[in-house]
Amino acid sequence: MALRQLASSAARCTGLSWASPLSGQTSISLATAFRVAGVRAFATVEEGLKYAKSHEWAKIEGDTATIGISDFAQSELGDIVYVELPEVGSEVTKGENFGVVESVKAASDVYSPLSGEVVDTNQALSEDPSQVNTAPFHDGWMIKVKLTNPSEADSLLDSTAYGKQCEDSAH
Amino acid sequence: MVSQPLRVCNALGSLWKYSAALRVQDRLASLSSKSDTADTLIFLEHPATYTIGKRGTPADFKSSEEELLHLGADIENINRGGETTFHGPGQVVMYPIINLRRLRCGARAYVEGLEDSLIATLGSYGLEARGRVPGRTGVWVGERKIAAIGVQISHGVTRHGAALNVTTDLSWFTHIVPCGIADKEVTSLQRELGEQHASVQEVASRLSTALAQHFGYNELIEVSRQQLESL
Repeated sequence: MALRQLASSAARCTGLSWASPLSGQTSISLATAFRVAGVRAFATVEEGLKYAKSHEWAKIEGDTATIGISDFAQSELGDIVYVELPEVGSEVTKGENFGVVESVKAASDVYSPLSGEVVDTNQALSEDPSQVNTAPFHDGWMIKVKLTNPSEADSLLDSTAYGKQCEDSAH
Repeated sequence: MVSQPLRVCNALGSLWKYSAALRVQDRLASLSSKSDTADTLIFLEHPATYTIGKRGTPADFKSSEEELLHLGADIENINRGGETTFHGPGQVVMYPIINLRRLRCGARAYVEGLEDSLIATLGSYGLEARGRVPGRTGVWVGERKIAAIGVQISHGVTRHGAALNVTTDLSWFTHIVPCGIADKEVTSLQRELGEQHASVQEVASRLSTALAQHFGYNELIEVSRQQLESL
């Protein structure tokens, strides 16, 4: 995402946000709340996924990864009205822009956490982009990628490390 | 909160062609994403130009392209968020090229910061304006839109920004559906204030103060258009 860091404890940038925990799903609330103007906001981190510092997640199954943006990221973006995704068959590269999300008249780049060929995209998002807000780790997925170099995943964060990053950026 | 300076380029008074100003924005954004360049705020007026954002469509135009070109307007397709809008003389266009990562600020907080800075500026003229209208980002006086917002964020750096109608000839807006909202009027500071004359220079000066205050910049450094163009 374009907004690599997030919660501003600097009180001026306080759009912050709250993310509804996804009930019934394996998610851990960050113990540290983003405290902004007296409002406590929580973002959830899904276990078992890999994360990029730029707030995208990857769910790796065999040589394929499903990719989306984190709960923290969607809460920083605000209501998403438009998602632009690559064509099936195109190549994405770790760390490079693969799509765009638009919220509050801001078009933000989304970066791929891994490299490979796009084998599927979430068409439902063109009808209802708000699924990225309501279910960022599930119905709000963006692309599926056949990985060219699965070992790239080693450099991504696990849920604990990513959760800590989100906490730290809230300080 | 990192205290840092903000470079301010006031290029008002002459008209800066849209495509040429975009090249300067692109250059500044590229420098900012690769190095520790100071953030920059550009104020300018464009010659009459219609810009079509990512979600703009031909249906946003009520007049044909030929008609608009005949009237002397340029038409540009660009990568900012939002639909179609108009820029022209008498409108203060503000392009902040800001590294949001360094500022520890997300997209929504940034856009709300732009709205709040515009609202504070209008408030200093005694005009009560509002922002944060769900689904209608921008700044409103009553049900009339006075400032449009559309930004692009790449590698954490912002481009494009906000456009506030000061003495804009509002008839230009009759050729489009501004920002995809068909049932709302567009207004200007001059129109809202009536007789009072509002100068684009004065508005820009108040706006830069409001923005610096909102985002916590500790110093404003003047830079010229020539300096930015030579980067």
